[in-house]
Amino acid sequence: MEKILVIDDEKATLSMFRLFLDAYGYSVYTAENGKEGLEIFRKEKPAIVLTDIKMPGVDGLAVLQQIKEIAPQTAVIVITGHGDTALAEQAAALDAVDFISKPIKKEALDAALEKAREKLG
Amino acid sequence: METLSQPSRAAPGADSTYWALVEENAILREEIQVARKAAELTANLVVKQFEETEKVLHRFQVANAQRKAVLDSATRISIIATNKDGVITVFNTGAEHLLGYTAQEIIGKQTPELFHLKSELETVRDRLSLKYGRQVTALDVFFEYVAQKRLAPSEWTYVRKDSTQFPVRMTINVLRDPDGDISGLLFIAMDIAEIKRSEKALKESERKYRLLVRNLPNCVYSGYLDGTIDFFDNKIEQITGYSKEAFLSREINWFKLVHEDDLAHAKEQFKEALRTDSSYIREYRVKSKTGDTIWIQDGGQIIYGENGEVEFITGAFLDITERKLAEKALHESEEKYRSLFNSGPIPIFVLERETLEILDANPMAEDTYGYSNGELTGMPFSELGPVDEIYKSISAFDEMDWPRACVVSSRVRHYQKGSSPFYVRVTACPTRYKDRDAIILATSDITEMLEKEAQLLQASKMTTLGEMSAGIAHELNQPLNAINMGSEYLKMMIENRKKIPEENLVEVSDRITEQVDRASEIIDRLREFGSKSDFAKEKVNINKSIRVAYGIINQQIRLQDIDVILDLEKNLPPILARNTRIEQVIFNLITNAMDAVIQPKKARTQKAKPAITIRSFLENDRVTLTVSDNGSGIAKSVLEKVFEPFFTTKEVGSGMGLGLSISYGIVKDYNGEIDIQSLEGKGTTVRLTFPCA
Repeated sequence: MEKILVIDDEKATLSMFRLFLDAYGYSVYTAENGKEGLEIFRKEKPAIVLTDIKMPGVDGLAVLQQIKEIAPQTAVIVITGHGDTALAEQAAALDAVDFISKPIKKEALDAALEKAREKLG
Repeated sequence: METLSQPSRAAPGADSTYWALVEENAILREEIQVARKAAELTANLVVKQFEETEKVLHRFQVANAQRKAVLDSATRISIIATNKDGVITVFNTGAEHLLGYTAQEIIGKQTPELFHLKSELETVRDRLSLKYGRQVTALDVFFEYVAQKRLAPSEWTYVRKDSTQFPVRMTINVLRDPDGDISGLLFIAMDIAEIKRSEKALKESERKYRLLVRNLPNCVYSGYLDGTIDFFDNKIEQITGYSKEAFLSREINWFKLVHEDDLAHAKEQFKEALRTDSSYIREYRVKSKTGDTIWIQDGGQIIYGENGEVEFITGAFLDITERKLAEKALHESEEKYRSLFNSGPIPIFVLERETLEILDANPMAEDTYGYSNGELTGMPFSELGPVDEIYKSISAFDEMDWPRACVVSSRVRHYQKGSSPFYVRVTACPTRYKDRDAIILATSDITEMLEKEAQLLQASKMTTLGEMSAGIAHELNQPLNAINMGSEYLKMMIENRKKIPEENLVEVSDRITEQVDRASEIIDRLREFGSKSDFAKEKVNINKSIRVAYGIINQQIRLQDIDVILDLEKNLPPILARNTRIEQVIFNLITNAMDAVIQPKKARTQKAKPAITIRSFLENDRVTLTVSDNGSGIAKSVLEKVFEPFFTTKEVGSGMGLGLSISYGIVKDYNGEIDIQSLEGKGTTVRLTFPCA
């Protein structure tokens, strides 16, 4: 089973991701902040990471940067707030595979996961 | 008895013896007869003489007794007699009484040293010694004295046995023997201590009276019906410029000096006095020598002669020009204030200090409150508005410096006739009104100002909300996202005809409910914050306000990675304010603190993590709230302006600069205090304090 890590400071969001990704057949790991997320990443080396951008402490862009340093081949999908296009562009520049914005639609999630798998080959 | 011895010598012969015998017998018989006769006569004479002697003796005894009685009865008068050598022979009861010696111990002693004042004797003796060019003895003093002064009494000092002294008036007489030679001295002395004392008292009283007349500003006079007048001193010259002689010589008549407009009334008052108790006090003007007008207060008492006619008037003038001028100035001042009162553009009331009953109100008060003056007078002020604050002000007056003790209230709601409310600011000052303690109270209608202020407040809130919209959108997006994902999950599972595990269904439905609640809460807070608030006060729990304000902004703070410490004292007493307004103030302070800590890092010298501390506690009986940050701080030059409206350090377009000035206005409205302390590069603390409700 493919490992997937979701980092978001919203417990409810994490909980929903878990249901979705479970149903998609992933082995799901969740973290409530960037620091915790990076720890899990180092330990579990998931191929796909979904991370919220706006978080207290280590934010999504910092997480993306560090993951790229640790394992550049990882497919990182960033989650942005509504209309945060500027942040999305920054993420793209840091080699994020895709971005989805809240509220997250199933189609957008599916498309992003598809892109991630394409990148992983 | 010679005749009886004659016959023996006449018997010379015997012859003639018979005849001789017969003759002799006859002679004898005759002689016997004569002798008998003589004896009778002598006896009578002796008896007579004896009787005379008896009579004289008796008279002498009577006189002696009288003399002694006189001496003894004169208990207040000392009578002392001496022989010519000064040895005391008489010392009467009066002398005993006055001098304290008994006659027994003093008679036979030498005067005058015994009870005369030595220094007094010596003074006279020295003077006499000088005069006669020889040494004079003490006793000589008295002889000289008598010789020169004769019977004139003079004052001497006696010394008692107990050596106390007292003044005597003493007459000295010389005593002479039947041949007219000087045989001694008689001293008659009277104690005059009491007389002296009375004299002194009388003199003192006279002196005081003269002093009084001289020093009193009143000018004492005796006046007559024709207007002539006598003065006792020259004070009249100081007043009128005319000397007392000018009046005394009848050169000046008092009536001529009295102002013609006042003369008739003054005479009327005099006539009134004649009809009543004969005394009067009248005030009129007189013209001085230099032509100045002088106000005189004239108090007089009419003195009648034996036949009931007016003899003269005794009285006193007092120059009351200054008082009259002061009265006039006072009157003018009163007029001035009265016209200010009447034409004042704001309502002014005069209230009784204890009851706050309206004593007077100006026309503007009638206009503004819709009552007539008649209706307002006597009305309790409480019918127009709340009086608690006024009572508080009154108690504050006593501690303040009168008359600068004026108290300005914050806004209060007053009611016009017919109960329509409006907002006023009340200024109350203590005053005196018709000899009563009163309060002068002015109310300025601030309804319009409050409306403007409310609009401004609303505008500033909307601006704040606009500034916050991105953050609020983000915050609302979170629950929406979770709800959306939950429903998409359910839809996906159903479309794929997969069985949804029961625990997943529970999870989704629980999360949806939870997130809907969360979203509603955010919306509620926004609605409350955005709502217009009215001015009425309510009890506000400041900790609750902190939580509400913090609740709106905490998501943004969290995302900015700022530490927030809430240190709120439990069971704080409430304050009297308006929830939404206090929340707005706190929100504003937290926003400012947030802005301060996320300003470019270079502005911060310390590398400490951005932090905001919000504290609430009770200090000096006031509910206190502080919002501190460790941000960029505020420069001193800027600090002075932070409460000014439209002052901002933020970039143009990012705020209107109304935050702190509006906060200031709100805090002041609820009798609060706000102060700000800041160190550039270290941080800022804003401190609010409110009185407990």
